[in-house]
Amino acid sequence: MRPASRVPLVPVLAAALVIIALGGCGVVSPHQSVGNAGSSTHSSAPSPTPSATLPYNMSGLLDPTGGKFFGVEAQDAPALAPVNAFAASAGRKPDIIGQYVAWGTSFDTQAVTAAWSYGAMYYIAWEPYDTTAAAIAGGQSDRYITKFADAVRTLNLPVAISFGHEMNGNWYPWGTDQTSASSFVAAWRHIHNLFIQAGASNVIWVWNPNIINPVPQVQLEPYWPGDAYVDWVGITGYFPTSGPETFATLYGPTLTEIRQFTTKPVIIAETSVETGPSDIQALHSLVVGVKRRPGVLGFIWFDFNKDGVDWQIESRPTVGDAMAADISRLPLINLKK
Amino acid sequence: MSKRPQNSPPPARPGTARRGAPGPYKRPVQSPDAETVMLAKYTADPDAEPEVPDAEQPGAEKLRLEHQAAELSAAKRFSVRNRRETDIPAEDEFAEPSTRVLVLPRGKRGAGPELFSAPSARRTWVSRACIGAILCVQAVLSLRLQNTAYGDEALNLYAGHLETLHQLHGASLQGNYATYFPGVPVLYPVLAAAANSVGGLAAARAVSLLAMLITTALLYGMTRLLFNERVGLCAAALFCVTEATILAGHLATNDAVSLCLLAFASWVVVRTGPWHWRAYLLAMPVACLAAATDYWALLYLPAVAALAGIAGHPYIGRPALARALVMGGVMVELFAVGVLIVGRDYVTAAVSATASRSPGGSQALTILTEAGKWGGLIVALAVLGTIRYAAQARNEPNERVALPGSRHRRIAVGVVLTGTAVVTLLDQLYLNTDVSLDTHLAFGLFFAAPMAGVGLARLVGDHFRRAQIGIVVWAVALILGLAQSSQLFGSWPNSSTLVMELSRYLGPGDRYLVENDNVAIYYLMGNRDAQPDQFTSTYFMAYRTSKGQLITGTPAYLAALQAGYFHVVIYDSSVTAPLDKTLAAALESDPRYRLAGTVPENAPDFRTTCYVWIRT
Repeated sequence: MRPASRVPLVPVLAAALVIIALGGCGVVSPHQSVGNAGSSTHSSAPSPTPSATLPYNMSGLLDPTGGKFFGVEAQDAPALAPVNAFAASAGRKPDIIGQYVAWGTSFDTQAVTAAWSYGAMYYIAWEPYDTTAAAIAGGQSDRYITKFADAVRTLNLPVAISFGHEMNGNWYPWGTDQTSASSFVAAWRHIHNLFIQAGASNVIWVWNPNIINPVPQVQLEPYWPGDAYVDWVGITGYFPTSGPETFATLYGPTLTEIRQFTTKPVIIAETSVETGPSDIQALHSLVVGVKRRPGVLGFIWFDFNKDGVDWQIESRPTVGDAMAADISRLPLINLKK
Repeated sequence: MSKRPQNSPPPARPGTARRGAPGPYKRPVQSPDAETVMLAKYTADPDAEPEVPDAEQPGAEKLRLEHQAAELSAAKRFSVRNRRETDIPAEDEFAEPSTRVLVLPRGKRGAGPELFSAPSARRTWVSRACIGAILCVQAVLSLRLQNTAYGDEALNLYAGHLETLHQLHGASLQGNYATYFPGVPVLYPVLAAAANSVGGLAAARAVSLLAMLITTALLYGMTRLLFNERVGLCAAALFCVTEATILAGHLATNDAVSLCLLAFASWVVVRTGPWHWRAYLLAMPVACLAAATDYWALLYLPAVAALAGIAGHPYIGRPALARALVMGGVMVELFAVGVLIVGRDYVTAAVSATASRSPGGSQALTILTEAGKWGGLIVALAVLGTIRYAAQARNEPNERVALPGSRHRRIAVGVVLTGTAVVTLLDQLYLNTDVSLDTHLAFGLFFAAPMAGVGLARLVGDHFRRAQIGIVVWAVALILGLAQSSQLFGSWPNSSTLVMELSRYLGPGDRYLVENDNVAIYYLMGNRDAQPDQFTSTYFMAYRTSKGQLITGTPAYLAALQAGYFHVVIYDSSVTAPLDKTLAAALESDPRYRLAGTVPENAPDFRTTCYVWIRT
């Protein structure tokens, strides 16, 4: 005789088993989000997963041949209002939007995204205030750098980073008075390697000395981190009222020295024309100089009113008009391609 | 009202009264004219299980009465013909009222009776429906697994394509596959590549699924012949939910097809066990083909040979044991001839696959733990089944079972089948590695499954007395199989993004250093700029320097990088982590290389990043 209590157990357990099994089929398998390439391979190539994102292909940006960069570092950027005002005066939208970022500041994802949506690449002039190159090289900022790099990688949009610009001058804490060339190089390489380890390949590394004219005694090569660590060479140089008035005289000596140790492409990373009798000619020389030199990628306009000097074009209609005229003849890069 | 104790046998039915200590069945007697078999009583073996008349056999009593005269004459003829082979009961014993008579289908001419326990039509169809459901469950469990090609799958598939081109058009091969493939490269790889040509990776995996479904069906058939349908269904139900079965059924590797062939050979020796003619020898080419498909199957050929002996023993007695020796001997000869024909390369590969210790491999504790996790439940049930089967041939007094033979024979059945499962573990321990343990376990578990089926049937008890225990045990097996197969099938990262990333940087004649180059080669097959000889893996490299010096290992990679030999370098710091670290340091300071991108590789067990460097 079978115990009466045994009868309902079997269907109950069987039902529980079915529930467990069905649940297991769906829940236990963690690979549904991994992708379905295995099941749809009539073609040789695996299917992309919905969440799979290829790393941004930087090869077209590292040494572009299709056009020149036209950038701006505008007051109150990365807000787009000053950028739009600059674009209205220049007659063209810039394709680089630069910003000075103090050491310790988080990576501004929204600014990069907004710039990219606008049609421009974000350019960070990373200023190591409140620290030293030796401390950075010694690993004291590793956490900050890695977090910054992770954010850059996660965003997966191209970003240009210039660490410690104008390092060959003595007007910044990371300049020649307080930082040795070897410390600067060590810090640069350390930052670069942390970005590599974080997988942030979507960075264009811009090594950005000042023109050598005001500091001829400082050799640039000791500050050079090496071709493996730099993508672009940036040069800071302004056309003042008194001084060099042409591209060749302003940047020529620096370019000559740089070409002795690297062939990396050059961008005029910070420039403007001071108001004066030859400002239009200087501007014309700048644009033509960029256009004629294959190794020069473009220039970034310093659109600030700083220390009593107005470098903006919006407030100088004649310069703005000249800029619009020159830029219209300059073939510009199309970032979306 | 008195209750019968649960463990007591059911009351005897009229006409099937149990007699005191009846002996084991010794020999089926086939009546040539009535196509019946008389099962004689014999009392010589005190260890034997009592033979209980089959109460489920419809019409047995009626037939017994109808054919009594024919039985007597048939028994006489049989006893004269076979007297020297076995003990034949005396004529008067057949005439006893309790003499058991079963109607059996006539076997093939001269082959003796087909089966001891011919099931009813209803039982047959119910069993077939159940095994059909089990196969459906197995198919669903395998097909739910999703991932891109595993490295071994990729290697088999693209090597199969190359082999096909080599055989048909004389195209060059990428190395001598015969020296390191775990099976003859013109067998499974060519088959899988043909399937891949038709339907891609899914079709190649479907071949494995089909093989594993056939394996389960053959397991059921073999177990049904050794025991009965119930045990066969239990064995199949347990086997189909193990991670090894699920995994092997969805991996385009040679394990499934080899196991299928091995299962077929096993089924043949069991199926032909009662036959007098040497039909069991048909299993030998199949078994040899299984071993050629996957050298790992070599380890189980002794089990097939032993199975030939113990399967035939209840029917033809001690001469059956000679079958094992004959099979073993002929198989050795066949392999010797094969080696003479195909050369020593295959021997090298077979020894490497089955007997070469891996220096610095997995720890024994790891191997034991993994084996316990993945196959422990079935082996435990098999041990239980072995013990219970040795003690008692039947689960319930009137259970229909195949001829169990003496206790010694039953012990032999249990030891051979269960012990074969341990072979897998012992060889993996000897090899000092857990590589492929997850699929190799399927071989051992195939042999252990029949005894596990016995164990599960005994847990359930007679008349499904403890069905809930059986359900719980199977549920545990199912959940373990689900979780483990999911985990193992997701243990390699989805390669879609990485392959697409690599495909951006291909160029004519370029060279690529890729950690797992097989997957890239497979998915980029057909791309003119991604031929197999353009790839190098981080596992081995020989590089000839500009001075003509041939170097290997890490110095070879560094020298190649220094010379700008590679156009793309991809590593993920997982399997070859020390080398990858060295490569990373070299690349970071090499101005010709730039990090082009990183691809996150996420799998349940690990998360890592794949670095893609390109020569600029």
